[in-house]
Amino acid sequence: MIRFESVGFAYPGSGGRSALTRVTLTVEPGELVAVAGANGSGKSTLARLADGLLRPTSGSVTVDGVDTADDERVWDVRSLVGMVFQDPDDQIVGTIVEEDVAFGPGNLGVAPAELRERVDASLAAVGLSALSRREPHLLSEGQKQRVAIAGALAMRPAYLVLDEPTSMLDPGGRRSVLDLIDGLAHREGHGVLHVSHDATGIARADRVIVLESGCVAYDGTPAGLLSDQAMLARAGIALPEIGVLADALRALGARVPEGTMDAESLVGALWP
Amino acid sequence: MRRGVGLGNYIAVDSPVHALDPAAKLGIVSAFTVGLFTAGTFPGLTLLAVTVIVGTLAASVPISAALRGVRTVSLILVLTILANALRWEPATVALVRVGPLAVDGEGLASGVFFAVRIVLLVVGTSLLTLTTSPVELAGGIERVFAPLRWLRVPVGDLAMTLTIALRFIPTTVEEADRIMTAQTARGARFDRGGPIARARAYAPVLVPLFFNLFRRADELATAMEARCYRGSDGRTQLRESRMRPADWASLLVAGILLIATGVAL
Repeated sequence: MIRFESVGFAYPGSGGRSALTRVTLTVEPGELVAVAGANGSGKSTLARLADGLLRPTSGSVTVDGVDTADDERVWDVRSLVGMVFQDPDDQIVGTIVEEDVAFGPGNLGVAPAELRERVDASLAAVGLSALSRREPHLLSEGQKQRVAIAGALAMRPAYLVLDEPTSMLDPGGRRSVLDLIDGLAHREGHGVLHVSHDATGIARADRVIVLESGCVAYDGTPAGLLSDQAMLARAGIALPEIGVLADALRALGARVPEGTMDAESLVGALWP
Repeated sequence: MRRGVGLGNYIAVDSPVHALDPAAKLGIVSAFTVGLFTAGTFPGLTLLAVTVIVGTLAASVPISAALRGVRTVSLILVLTILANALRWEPATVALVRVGPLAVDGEGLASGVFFAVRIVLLVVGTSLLTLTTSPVELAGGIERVFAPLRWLRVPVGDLAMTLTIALRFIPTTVEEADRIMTAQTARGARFDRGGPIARARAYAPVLVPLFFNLFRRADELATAMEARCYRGSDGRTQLRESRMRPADWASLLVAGILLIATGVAL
């Protein structure tokens, strides 16, 4: 379990202005937790704290009981928690897809035979087996982001922290990455912390946490958040048109479940 | 906007030359280059020429690709032949005379000798980059220089730096392209004025480009740290290259050729 215990964090040189204040949250294996909030609300800081890339100024962050502030064990934390960042171009190290996926486990000293097996399995998990020998810069942004996810998976982490992985993707790429994230948590049993301010991404989470100026402003179900117009506005989340339409239809008495975000599920709800 | 920026001139096909260990290929090319400069006679040069031809055929790369480098040095070739062949009122018997200038057999022969040497050098070394991807080459360089570790040279880290530089060339080219388009849209001209004015026109491209590169380097360092990069000690790689009998055999043949051209021919 990733556990934030009353975590406070201030960047050095920020004059003591804290980026996070008294944040308490947990991510269990098999759970998909979304973190939303306006720009500058502390989302990325929270993601970096979960991996030990930043250390809390007050409170504590533990991953399966290991404190991220423990110098001796910070690499254990990083091998337990896979990170995926916003821009895939800033995290792909290898000149060939499979070599990049092998980078993380290679750093852990995994033997070559197992390395090959992990790379193949991770690329299969993200559906990119056919592109294993490609050069990353020839891939689409969505494919690049899936390479980055494969790179994190190849380290066999228990948890995944994704910092706005879909914000630079086109709708097709976004949907494929969201499907993948969904499956990783709910089928593969990874504990996933998904930083996102996209309503379609939030809708698929088991729990949503909204940060506002570094404090937890909402902690509950996605349906609860998505039907709370005031909270959505504070968090800077715009409902997609289909979501607005679904809400309007529900207000007119149509049987549309809360949190309907895409055309397919809306059509499915209206004509079962 | 995707131009498909390729790295180097690598041609990805399966061939015995491609399959050779990059470290062995580096050794062979070094031996070949030394042999080329120690060979003092036409028989020696012929032997090396045969080696290059056999290598090119075995690498199954198009002949045009192998000869591409020759075009760039064609001017040097012409000048080399002329400089050696032309004599001012030669004492020996001339083949051709144009006014006070003359061409004699001896000069022509040495001109051709030097020209052939340049052609072989260009084609021979381009075989290395045609059949070895930049990453493999970086790995090969790492292994060739591995003994320097004893002198505390961080060979692995340098090879990692080289690999990352190769990885970011296409990304940087695309970014430069994007910035240039953006500056052009705001009225910047890159094709006007003298060399100094043109160089100055690139300042508004280079400043944001470098700014972005530094930002990227910072992000990349964070990502590498998140992926447990702790220097190259104890790191494993997908392709553990090791010298196989075929690699040693080809290196041995290269060594014999080197001695043959240097001593006998």
